[in-house]
Amino acid sequence: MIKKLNKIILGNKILLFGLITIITAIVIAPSLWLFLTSLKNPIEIFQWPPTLLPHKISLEGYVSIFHGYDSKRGSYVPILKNFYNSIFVGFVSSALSLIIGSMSAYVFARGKIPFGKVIFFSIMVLRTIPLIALAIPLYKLISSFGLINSLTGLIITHLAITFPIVMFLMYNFFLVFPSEIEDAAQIDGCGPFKIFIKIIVPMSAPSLASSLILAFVFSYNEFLFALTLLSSNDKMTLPVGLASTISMMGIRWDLLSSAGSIGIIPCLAISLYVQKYILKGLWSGAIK
Amino acid sequence: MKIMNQYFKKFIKNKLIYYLMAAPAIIVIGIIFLYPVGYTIWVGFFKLSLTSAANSAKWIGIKNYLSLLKDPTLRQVIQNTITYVIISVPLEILFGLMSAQLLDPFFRGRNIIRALWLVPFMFTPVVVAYQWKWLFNDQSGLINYILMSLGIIDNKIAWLSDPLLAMPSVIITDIWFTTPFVTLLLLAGIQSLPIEPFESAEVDGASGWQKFLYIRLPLLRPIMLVVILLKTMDAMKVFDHIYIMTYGGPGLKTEVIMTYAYKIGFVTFNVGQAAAVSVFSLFLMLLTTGIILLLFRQKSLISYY
Repeated sequence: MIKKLNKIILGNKILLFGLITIITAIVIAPSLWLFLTSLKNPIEIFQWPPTLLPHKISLEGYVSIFHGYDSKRGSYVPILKNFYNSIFVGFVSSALSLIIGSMSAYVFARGKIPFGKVIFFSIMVLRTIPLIALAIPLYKLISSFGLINSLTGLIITHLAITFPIVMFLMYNFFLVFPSEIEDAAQIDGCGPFKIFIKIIVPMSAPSLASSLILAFVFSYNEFLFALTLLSSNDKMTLPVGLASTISMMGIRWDLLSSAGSIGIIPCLAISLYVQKYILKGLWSGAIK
Repeated sequence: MKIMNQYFKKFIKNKLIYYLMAAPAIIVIGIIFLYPVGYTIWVGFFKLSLTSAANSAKWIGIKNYLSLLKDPTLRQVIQNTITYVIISVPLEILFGLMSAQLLDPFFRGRNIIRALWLVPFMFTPVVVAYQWKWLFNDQSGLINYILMSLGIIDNKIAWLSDPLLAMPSVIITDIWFTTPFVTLLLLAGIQSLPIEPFESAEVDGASGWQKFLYIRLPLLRPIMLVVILLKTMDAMKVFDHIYIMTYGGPGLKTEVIMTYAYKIGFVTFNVGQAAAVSVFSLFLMLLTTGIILLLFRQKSLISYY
């Protein structure tokens, strides 16, 4: 009996292991292919049959990115600057949207102000509007603030994309989060804002952590607003900078694949760093 | 007067802070969404072109909308968009749920696997689109090479210019690219679930499947609703990778609402007509949201929202 049970458990484990391996392969293969491409020289990239590993490692793409200059074509490559811009915009807008999103989600989910849920749903509905429809009027609006071709203007528009996502996640978290703790704190004479900062925020760390990843990645990779609002090369964010190198000189696979590989590093770093907060969450803490 | 004063003081002490906490959200949404949406609806009533002078706008009432409804392309475009949404969203939810379920229990190396499975979502959409366009390339694409060396196909297939295969190809790209987003949301949802129901089910001798079907899924319903809504809206708004991979082609086979609106607005510069398309698509999205909310209408949910 026990032997049989052990066999089933072992079988399950092997099945799970197999599934995880297969999914990891499917998920990773295209990304790995991009990275391997970035190490090949431009001629080898187009070879048939395609080569898996580069015959001779060539770092041309990386070299032109880090020098900011493409020696072969004698052109200026602003990708490194674009990369910094993207990181800056991503950080500021995701930090701000965490603050705005979690505060508003708390107020709306707990019904602290009249029509809170109506406002929540209105924001959710408004978020569904296609961004292309907003591009022209937003351009006019931002230019009337004098913020065209500035990262500040871009961050303001990104807030509107990122904070609703944070708000949705946190809203759902607060719905299942028991309110007894807050009541207890209130009886002890703790003010509303203090309750939020000292009790709610630390306890919602896992949800905040996944919101942070989402908000950062969305803002970091946002394309359409960055395309319409930024015009000079050294102000562009990474996605727009990459797209502009493509339209200028055909598809530069060495540049595209190297910049794509570098571009993922900040997102990967943040998600790895934030993982421990996802694990340290209230409920997983309660289990062990 | 004194009572008023007292009431006012109490309000400032206890309630005002909540209004202040909600204010930034409302202000941002007001600036970035309300004004442009109003402007777009307004412009939809004008004959306005980007190429003509700014003050040449001519009020033409609902003519933009009428000519839109008469356009035979629009029907094809809506059909494509619906096909895209109906195929991609359920598959992504299914795969996302499966991944979240696999990534939830502890095993050695779980953190690394979690980070790895998020990788597709972290790539810049532009890079993903070009990468997949090239993977699907008929002359030097990796997919053709793999399928040929496995003996599944004999000749190179032109995935993205084949009328039948273009749509599946962009959908596969979408699934690869956005399933991690679903996984992340569902994983966060799973981890915020209370532990007690699972414990008592374990005591009662429920199997893993039973726990999943009868406890976890029902508990996940609210977050599932949000995920389905977000994902459906995003799929209806799909633009980046279709624009880059197929440009709506071959013919109109992969033309979706957003690429269609973009072409009217930024290729033929007919701003009024483009605004009409945008308003129309907003209407379509509201309709879809309504349908999804209705489908999810259950007693437990009404108390939630």
